Amino acid sequence: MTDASDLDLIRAHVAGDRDAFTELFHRHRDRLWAVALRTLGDREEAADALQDALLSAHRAAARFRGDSAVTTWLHRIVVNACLDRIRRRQAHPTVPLPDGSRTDADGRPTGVEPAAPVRDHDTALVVRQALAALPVEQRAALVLVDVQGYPVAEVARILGVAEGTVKSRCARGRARLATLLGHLRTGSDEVAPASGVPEATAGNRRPPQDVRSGSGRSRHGTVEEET
Amino acid sequence: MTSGDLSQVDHDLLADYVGGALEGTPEQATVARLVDEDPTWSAAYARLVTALPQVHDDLARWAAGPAPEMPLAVAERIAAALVGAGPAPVAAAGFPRQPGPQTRLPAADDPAGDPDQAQSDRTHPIDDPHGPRPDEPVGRPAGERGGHPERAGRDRSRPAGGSGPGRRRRRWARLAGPVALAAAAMVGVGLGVNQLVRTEGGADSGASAPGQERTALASPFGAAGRRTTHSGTDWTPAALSGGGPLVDGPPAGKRPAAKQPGGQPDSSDDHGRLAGPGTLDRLADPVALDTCLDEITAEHGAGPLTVDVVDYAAFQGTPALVVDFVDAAGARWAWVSGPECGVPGSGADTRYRSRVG
Repeated sequence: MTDASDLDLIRAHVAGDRDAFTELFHRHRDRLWAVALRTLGDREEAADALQDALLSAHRAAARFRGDSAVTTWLHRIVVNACLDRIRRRQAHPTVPLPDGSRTDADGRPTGVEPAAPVRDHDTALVVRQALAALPVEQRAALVLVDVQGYPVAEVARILGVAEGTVKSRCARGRARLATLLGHLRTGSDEVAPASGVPEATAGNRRPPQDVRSGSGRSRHGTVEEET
Repeated sequence: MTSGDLSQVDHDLLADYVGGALEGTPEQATVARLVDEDPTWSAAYARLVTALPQVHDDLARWAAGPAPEMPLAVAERIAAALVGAGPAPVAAAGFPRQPGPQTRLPAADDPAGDPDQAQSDRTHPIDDPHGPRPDEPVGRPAGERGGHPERAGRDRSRPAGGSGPGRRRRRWARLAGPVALAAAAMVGVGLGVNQLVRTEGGADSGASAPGQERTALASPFGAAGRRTTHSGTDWTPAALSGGGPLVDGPPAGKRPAAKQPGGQPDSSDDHGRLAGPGTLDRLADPVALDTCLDEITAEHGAGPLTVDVVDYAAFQGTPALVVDFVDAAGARWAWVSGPECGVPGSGADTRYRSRVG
């Protein structure tokens, strides 16, 4: 069984092999866990989302057509489960815009992942908090592309959107992170970084408070959205 | 330049431009012109491209840390849930198949539909807003604890109204889906759990510690008539819902795990996992047991329960607490919880449940 391909395991599962899907799970569990944990920022949520997703995949395996990699399919289900959870818990996202305003003044992202074994703990904590403040679609795209290192085309398949949309989500997410992390200098204003997200680097500055970000314009071609 | 000068900059559009998302679109040339000709846009562009490398550095440093590895407890829990889900649904025969109208969980190669619109169905293919189903083997529906006051504030930060009607019950339903149909077929066969209620003299019937007895008498779960057993039986959905005797003896083909002096199964038995990290030792504490039963009550969401039997046993090869109870509506249930039942964050650690009467 260990030599079987992912597709073989899916086929075996669909054919009634009770161990095949579990083998598939163990084969990819750490990667899926990393995606879920970094997207949700909370171990318990990540565990629940993964369980939901894997049970859904287990149930729907027969509908996997094999046109893409099994891992892509699994990632897509896991990411969707994560996004669903985030949407449910964030009725009012706390997203600082580049101008420093907030969509919700009283809230702050919750469920930050507990202390992680990273080399620079402070940076890790700050980055996690900043990511948690992003719109969920931007967060998911950034986690997959910039943190997990998946190619944009692969992420587009995982998220079920056009590549241009992935690029847009990442680009806008990075720009917001630049604000949240205090890297977006104005040259004139020296203020504290956006509340809820400490500075990653001492001396970084917050952008001016009255800079307005226009809403996303209509997009041609591959860019489909954003706010 | 004042910050007010930047009010005309569309920062999202500028971010798209810098990130290459406008390539091949008319906006690319538009933004390029603005960056070249408009001082406000030029300044904003300069600041952004200066800041982005630092963002990349921060993300790279975070990503360069040790990759998260799934905790063993989580891996075991999910694996147990998958095992509990049984084989692939019958409808799965004939792989590969084209997607049917009744199941919208797509393959990654299924581009149809708006992903955001459809994703809820992908992970919640079963929608039952009307409470627990008769037979629902589950992995662990943590977070679904209707009406539990202690959990109200930690329901995964689920805002009121933000999750839609019936979300809690859908959680049960979607976790239960794989085996629900098969288990439903077994409901009417026989009520094995009832034998646990009717039959005296189980493996360890009445052998609970004095402390357990005291707590049982004081606990709110109909404890006066509650019996505790340590049958060691490796229960299956069929045995629980299909008439397998719980107290008279294990189901056919199964045998009780050998007992250690403390009443727990022996590690050298077939059910060696019972002696591993996931043993039921913790639940021998009457306080922990009551906490577990409280979680089951909350998760069941049908009012106070009258617990008739608590069996320290196993379910599909893993240690499990098998509880027989009658809810406020008069329905009798067999409920299987794992060793983490009652542990903060683990809820009832539910592995299976079946209405048996």
